[in-house]
Amino acid sequence: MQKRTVMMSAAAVLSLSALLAGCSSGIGGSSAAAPRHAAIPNGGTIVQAIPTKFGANMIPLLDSSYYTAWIDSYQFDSLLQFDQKDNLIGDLVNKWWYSNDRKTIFFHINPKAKWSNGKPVTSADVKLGVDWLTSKTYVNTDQGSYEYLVQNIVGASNPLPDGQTPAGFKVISPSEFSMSMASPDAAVLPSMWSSIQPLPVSVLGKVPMKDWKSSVFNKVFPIGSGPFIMTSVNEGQSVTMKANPYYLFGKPHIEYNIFKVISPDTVDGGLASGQVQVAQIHAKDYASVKKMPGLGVGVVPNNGFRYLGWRLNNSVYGKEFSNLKFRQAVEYAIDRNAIVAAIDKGFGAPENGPLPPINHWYNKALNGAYAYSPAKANALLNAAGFRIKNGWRTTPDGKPFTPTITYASGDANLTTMATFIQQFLQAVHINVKINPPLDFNTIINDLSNDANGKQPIQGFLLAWSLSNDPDPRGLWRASDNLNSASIDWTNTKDPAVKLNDQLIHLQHTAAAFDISYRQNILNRWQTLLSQQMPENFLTNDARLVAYNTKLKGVVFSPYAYGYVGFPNRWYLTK
Amino acid sequence: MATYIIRRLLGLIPTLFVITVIVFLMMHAMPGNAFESLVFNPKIKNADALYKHLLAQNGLNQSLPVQYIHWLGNILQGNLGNSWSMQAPVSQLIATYLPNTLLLAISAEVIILIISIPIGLYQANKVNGSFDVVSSFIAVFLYSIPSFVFALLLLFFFSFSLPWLPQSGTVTPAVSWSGDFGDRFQHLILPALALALPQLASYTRLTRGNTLQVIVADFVRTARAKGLRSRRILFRHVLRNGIIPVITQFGFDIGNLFSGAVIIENIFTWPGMGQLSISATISRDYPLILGTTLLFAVMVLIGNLIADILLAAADPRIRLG
Amino acid sequence: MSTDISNKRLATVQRRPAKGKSPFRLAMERFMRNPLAMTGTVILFMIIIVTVFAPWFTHWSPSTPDIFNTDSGPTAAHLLGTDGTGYDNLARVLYGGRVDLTVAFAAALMTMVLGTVYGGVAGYFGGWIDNLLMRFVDVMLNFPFISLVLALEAIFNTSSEWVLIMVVGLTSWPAPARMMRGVFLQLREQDYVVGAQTIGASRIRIIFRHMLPNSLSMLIVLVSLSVASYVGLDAALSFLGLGVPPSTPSWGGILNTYSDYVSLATKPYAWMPPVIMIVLTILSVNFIGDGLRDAFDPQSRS
Repeated sequence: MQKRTVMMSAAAVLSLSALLAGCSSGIGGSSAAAPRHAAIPNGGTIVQAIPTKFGANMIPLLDSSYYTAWIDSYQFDSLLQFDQKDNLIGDLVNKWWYSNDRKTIFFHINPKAKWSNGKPVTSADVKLGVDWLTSKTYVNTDQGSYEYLVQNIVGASNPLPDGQTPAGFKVISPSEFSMSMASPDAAVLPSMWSSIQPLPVSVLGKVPMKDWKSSVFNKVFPIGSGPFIMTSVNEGQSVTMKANPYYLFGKPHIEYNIFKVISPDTVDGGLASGQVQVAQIHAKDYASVKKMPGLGVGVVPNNGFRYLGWRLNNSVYGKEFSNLKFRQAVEYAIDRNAIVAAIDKGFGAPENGPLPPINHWYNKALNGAYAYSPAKANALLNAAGFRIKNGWRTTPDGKPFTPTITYASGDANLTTMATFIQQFLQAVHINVKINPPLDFNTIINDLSNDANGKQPIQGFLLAWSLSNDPDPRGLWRASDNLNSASIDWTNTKDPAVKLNDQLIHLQHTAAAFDISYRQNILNRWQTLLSQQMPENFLTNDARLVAYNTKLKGVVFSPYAYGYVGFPNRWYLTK
Repeated sequence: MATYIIRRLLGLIPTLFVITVIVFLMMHAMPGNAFESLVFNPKIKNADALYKHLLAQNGLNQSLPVQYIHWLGNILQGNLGNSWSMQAPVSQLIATYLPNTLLLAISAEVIILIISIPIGLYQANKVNGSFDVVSSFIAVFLYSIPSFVFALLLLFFFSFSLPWLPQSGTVTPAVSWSGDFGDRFQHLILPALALALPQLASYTRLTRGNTLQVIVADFVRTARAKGLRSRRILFRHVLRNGIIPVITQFGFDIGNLFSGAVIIENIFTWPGMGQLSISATISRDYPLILGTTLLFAVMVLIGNLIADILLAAADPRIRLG
Repeated sequence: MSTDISNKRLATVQRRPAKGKSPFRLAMERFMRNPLAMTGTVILFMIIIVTVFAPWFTHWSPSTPDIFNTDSGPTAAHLLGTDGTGYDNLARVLYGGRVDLTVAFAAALMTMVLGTVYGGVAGYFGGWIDNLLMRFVDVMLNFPFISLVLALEAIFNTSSEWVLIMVVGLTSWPAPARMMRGVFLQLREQDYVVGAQTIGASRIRIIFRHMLPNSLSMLIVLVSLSVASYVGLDAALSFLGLGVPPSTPSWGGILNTYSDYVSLATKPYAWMPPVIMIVLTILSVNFIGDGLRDAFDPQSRS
């Protein structure tokens, strides 16, 4: 069965390059750093396990599968990346600067930036990447998920005809280009534009965008700007990638990187027998895997969290879920520390707000919020009129109250968590039922198509993965699709929503270029969401990555796909 | 023989008809309607307008039989709709995944037949001998272990403890010999064995039992009386007659083989129909679910047809009767 | 899950009862003398006892999670340890048989009832009724168990033992029904049936009084095989996570929890018991089935 690490793949919260070695403020950690002498051996093949099949569309950003995005990230570098201190540093672009009015950003392409066929990366390639994300084909026909990356460019707020460049994008020279926004925005570069991936004009330039999906390049994409380039794709089982000799930061030491779909039931056997070099494991197996000869385990903080959402417009219990006291009572009723201990074996922490405790921008004042207290939960529910009748609470109208919880399939931990939550809620007399698991993307799709609240999903157990930048746009504003899709909080008449939108606006205005100002606003925003509990924040679970100890130089990172970054620095010893 | 096959093929038409009707009705029981599951894509913006437009355009306000005929027309043109979870036409997905399942199922079937028939024959020839007793007991024991337990044990021993065989997939990536015969064969051994072993036992028992009955039959006694060598009797006379019920059983078991493949494919990451249908189910990807259900039914139908033709080849009375 | 039935069809050569004792009594005596069959009966009986009276053997509930005691090894309180949800493994094993055996016996019941009805009607009346019914069987044979379970779970958006039982009801009977038809077709030509017809016995009487008792041995075999195949199949489905909900204990569900390499290598105390229960159940039902066949049809022992 698929035991997938459930993650948001289509969200505004996903960083595409996502390569921060998570060492800032004492979090994260890396295995023995690569020694800086010339004896690093080159060559060899490694296998990284992915727990469930990847989407088969290999044109960048066309597929909504997390695993395909992961593969993409190996083949295509983005404009900028982040360093260990969460600062933007160069990638394909090595210099960038703002205009005086801070409405335009100028970019200069790194002279070393080359495609894997040796041709330089140019402004035209960047332009093609932007054109693709704004095209009607990508947004409407192919249902792409990443158009938000370029929507703040002047002229790109709506999809454009294929091949038309938004007015705000200007090619200055083959190595220089600029992008403009309508008003100064402190977050647009780190949270959106830095992630834009240039696309090779030499390959895709002659193919009309409407034919990209059916083209041969969508099966195996021939060239890229990242450390590894795919050489073959076995649909549903593996992708083989070869080191890119022209990679900007030097040819990777590993010759072949293979992503292989391996059932979570057998992945630990693959690690033990040397058939797999890198794979995520469950916390309960930490001790036994660590004891195995030739294996190490990295504990990586996770820049994301699990949550329990409630469909606030649900046609059956929408009114009850919209009651703030209900959601706060649920938060008090669940012993999140016990869940961290039982499921994550202590590798994690309770989640108190929309940013995880390991995040640079986390508001530490939220520590200890909603400490486990069934008494407080009962008091809140009583105050809200959920009376107890025959042992179970009714709605304030006196009707039976039996909400359901749907959870995403693939991760055995979510099954366990659903069971615990059911037990905790039953302890405060809420008669919760658990629905059979559904695929993550199906849950998101069902919620997105639920304008009348008739979908069977009521409560839902999911996980978010966040990007380096805390910018809540794309997810938390009233105008954001994803919010109406997932919880619908911002469509309610709640006065707090207005404050929410105001704070989100403030955190990216011109004033927010000042870090302490932005931190202050974000703290207020986190406090607001912690009070309002638009969804019940549960746990911030660390991820465990097991690896073969012959593999050196692995950089564990909360922000990288698979929680391991910089594959160009890895190498195999004999 | 040709007339028999033609007659048998014509006989399939009503069965096929009823199968498509059942699948069509299942489709109607699913959330959404027949057309929605052909083009269903929850990401489409302004779906209401599009939906109404499509309803009118495709006459879905018409009666069920008319809708059925439309749907059947699509199926006959190979149009099974689009899978929205895999973002591809269902027919294209099936074309990608089906060959792997066929390879697995046929390999398992071959293993079953080439091992169980000789063992069964030998057992019957020396009935209640030590080989018979020991192998019969082992057979019953094998029969009692579900195939997924076999799969896990095989992996445990032959891929993890002794790293002899690969744990998953159909080919080794990133090697020069990737995908050649030896490579594919190596990947096939464990899943095919896991699928075959539980069935192996029952086919051995079946062959043994049938052979025992044939061995006492008059024509065998006659052959012995004529002084033919016992090996010749065994293979010329006994085998041919003893194998007929095995073929009948094979027809019944095709469905079981596919069911078994669903589980085995998941353990071995074997990209076949089983993986496809399970992924369709947890994604509630209705076009794909219906496509795989229909395909499973048709595969079993074809398997039964093959079994019948083999039966007719082995036993002339059947094709004449 | 396969059913090696055809050989028994051929093996079903009807015998006349000896004088004095009823054929049923004789068969039972033969059955009692069969050591394997008796061992199977005792084991199955014991499995049913511990399953039905599970509360007598453990005070733990199989569906109450204990968040403060997860993934524990064997202790005095939890003899087989606890799983990741804090369920007591021993309690899961004991109660787990309820689902597996219910599903298996549902299959047995369907096989018995529909097998008889189908066989009787089709085999006796023949003609267009037979033809029509057999076409229906042909259609139903084409929907494999797992494929139908997957489709129906998606339609009803639920997974429970009731869906399983329903699908078992739909898929378990066609093959046995076809077998029983074959038996009745053979019986129709038997002298005593022809005899009964000539003296003007009613059709109902002929079917129930003469043909049914003589097809009993075949029916018993089919039922026992049916039980054996569905115990394994339900376990497999639970293993895929598509069987019963996780809170409902089942043997396949326990195995699913412990099916990874680490658990197989280090926690045999947890995964061996459900495997043993599944194997013992199938094995004992098999022995009972063989014993019954041999008892009702002594010639097949040859």
